[in-house]
Amino acid sequence: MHTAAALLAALLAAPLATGADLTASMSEGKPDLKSIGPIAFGPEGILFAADSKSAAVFAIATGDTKGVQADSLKVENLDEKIAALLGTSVEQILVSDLAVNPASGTPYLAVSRGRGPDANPVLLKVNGDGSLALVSLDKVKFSLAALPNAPADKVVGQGRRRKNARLESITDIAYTNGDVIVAGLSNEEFASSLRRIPFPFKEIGKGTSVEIFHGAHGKLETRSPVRTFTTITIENEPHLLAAYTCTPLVQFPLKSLKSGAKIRGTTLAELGNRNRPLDMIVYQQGKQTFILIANNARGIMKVTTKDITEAKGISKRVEGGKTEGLSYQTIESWKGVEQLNGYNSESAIVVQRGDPGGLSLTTMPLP
Amino acid sequence: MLLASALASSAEPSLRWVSDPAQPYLAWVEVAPLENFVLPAKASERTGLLSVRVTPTGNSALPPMAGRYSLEKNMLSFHPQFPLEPGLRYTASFKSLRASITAPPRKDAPATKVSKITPTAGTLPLNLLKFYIHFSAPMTRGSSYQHIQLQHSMGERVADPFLELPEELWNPEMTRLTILLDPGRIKRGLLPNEVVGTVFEDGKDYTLRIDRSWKDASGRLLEKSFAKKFRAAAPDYRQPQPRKWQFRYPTAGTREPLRVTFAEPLDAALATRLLAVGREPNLILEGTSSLAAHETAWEFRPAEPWSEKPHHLKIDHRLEDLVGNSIERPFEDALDRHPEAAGAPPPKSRHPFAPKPAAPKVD
Repeated sequence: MHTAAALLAALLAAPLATGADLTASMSEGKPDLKSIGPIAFGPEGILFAADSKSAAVFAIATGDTKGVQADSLKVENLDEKIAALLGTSVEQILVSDLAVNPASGTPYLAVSRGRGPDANPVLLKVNGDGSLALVSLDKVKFSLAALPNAPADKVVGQGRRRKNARLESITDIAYTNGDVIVAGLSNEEFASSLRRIPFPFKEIGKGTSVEIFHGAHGKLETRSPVRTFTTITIENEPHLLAAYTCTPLVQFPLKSLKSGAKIRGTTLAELGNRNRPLDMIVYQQGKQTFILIANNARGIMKVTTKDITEAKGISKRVEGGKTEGLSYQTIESWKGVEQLNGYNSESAIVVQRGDPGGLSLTTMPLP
Repeated sequence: MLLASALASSAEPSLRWVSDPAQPYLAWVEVAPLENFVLPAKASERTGLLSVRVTPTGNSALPPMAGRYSLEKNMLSFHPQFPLEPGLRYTASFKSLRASITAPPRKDAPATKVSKITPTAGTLPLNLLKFYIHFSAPMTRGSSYQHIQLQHSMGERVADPFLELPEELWNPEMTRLTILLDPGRIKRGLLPNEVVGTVFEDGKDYTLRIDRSWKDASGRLLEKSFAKKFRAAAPDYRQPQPRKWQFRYPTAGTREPLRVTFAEPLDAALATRLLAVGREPNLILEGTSSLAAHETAWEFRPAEPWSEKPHHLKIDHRLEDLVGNSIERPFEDALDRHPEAAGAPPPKSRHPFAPKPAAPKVD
């Protein structure tokens, strides 16, 4: 995650806590990342990295706290370059997320070297000249928040313990105003998990977990996992804007994320059939706020938020299988976007898959 | 020590690969002897001097491999950041010197196969929520959905049946993948459900096909393709009800299994994880559990013979059936339901029992 809003939130949070405060409770050494999934930046160059395999979120002080951002970036053959730098073949490279450090303007990539259970998690940054650099995690300040993962039952006696096959994949992560928000999806039970973990992390920061529901038209609701989310300010109130795995786009106030709460998001739009949202950002253009959503099946969707304050939720279906809700336009020219992030006030940065299948990293003017 | 390549005269430096035969993938590069040599501080100058590249790349614009440089006495060393990849060739360059090494290929091992797909039954509810694909060895992530296809009875492909998650829901060992059917098509009242419809139609036949082109963690193809055939049946909107379960109790002094028969098939992974046998006050018995009769029954065999003391089956209410209805809540719930207000007592989380007393011996 990834937003102009997060950038703004990070700036707003900065006067409240200095870098020294944020890293004071961190220890120095090598964070034992077993995997790397979604990443997000907080203030002072602090990176939050989701490690699904360890069921943990790591906060890493990158030390990358100032810099001059390049006006634009274009890295062709991104996957080939990553493979070369990591000394392996392209088919062993998986790019799992992209985030821009608001303190320096530098894009970072979360990458797996290898595709099996022994894959190496790797963090890369993209220099202003388009070259890639491995971010050394051998000696950094870091802390971690362990997420609860249903443990195997205790057994009597000394026998072997049952292996726990359950794993919760962290599908998205964001930092906003002193909180890390984490969405997860289990490989066993169909349930939502959205956690709010105050940062700096407490001794073992598990945070607050809430259940998220989605109510469809009529009378039924489902405990829906969140696919991707971002933060947005609506009437001076920070909100979470989330796309569910069952496709609707919903919003709910951040303050509703209280322990044990049951939350039903307000449906803003249904993102349609045979289409899955992959990533989204919020940005300003003039006085208007827009949402940009990358999808697997369509180009980028630009959603207007003009009516978001009035959105009381879609309650009825209009003619022709369409729904009420926020209006959007589809921008077909942004093809194959797999990762999307705010770059600066004028541009977004994307990882795109081209027609022959290779990846590129490009800044794009916001539509 | 194994010298992969050497180029030497007494005064001129030579470049070579060095590795420990016990750990052939952790090879490194040495240049020696070097007189009055100073290691540049800038990373770009270091890589310009001594670098390692995967060969052939066919693209000189690619960066060299990341690693650590060190200078000790008159020897410059480069340790790659990562182990060498089996079967790949690497070339080190120092000025005009070149030295190459090919990392040994992986050891032969039996080909990996699909060992099981659950649910195992031949008839499945049309609002089925997930499949678990089990493999005999660790697999690879990143392209799983390309190798999984759902087909109609005539072989025609069913369009967009799955919730394709880039994360891919594997177990930690990567021997089991969870495939979710698109919940937007299952959930009533949503656009995909109303316009595209459910993935399955009542009474029709389908095949879930796993293609052998899927590579395992060692880079090998699967032994063979795998097909699971089944027929879709009426949707299931009922929650599992433990009070309808039937029990076959074991005899004290034996290691006979406790058998629990459900009124319907349950989710295999959750039934394995969320059912357990306890003994007062708070012990969980050690033993082995297994599912039987197409996941409609669960058996538990204790590690030690049963005692006559009171036991109980511990039932976690997150346990789901095949369509995501759990004991605590249906997949699609009535808005603002209050179970207590509805008057129904919450289901028990413990089913007490005592093993039958051992029969007296008759001479």
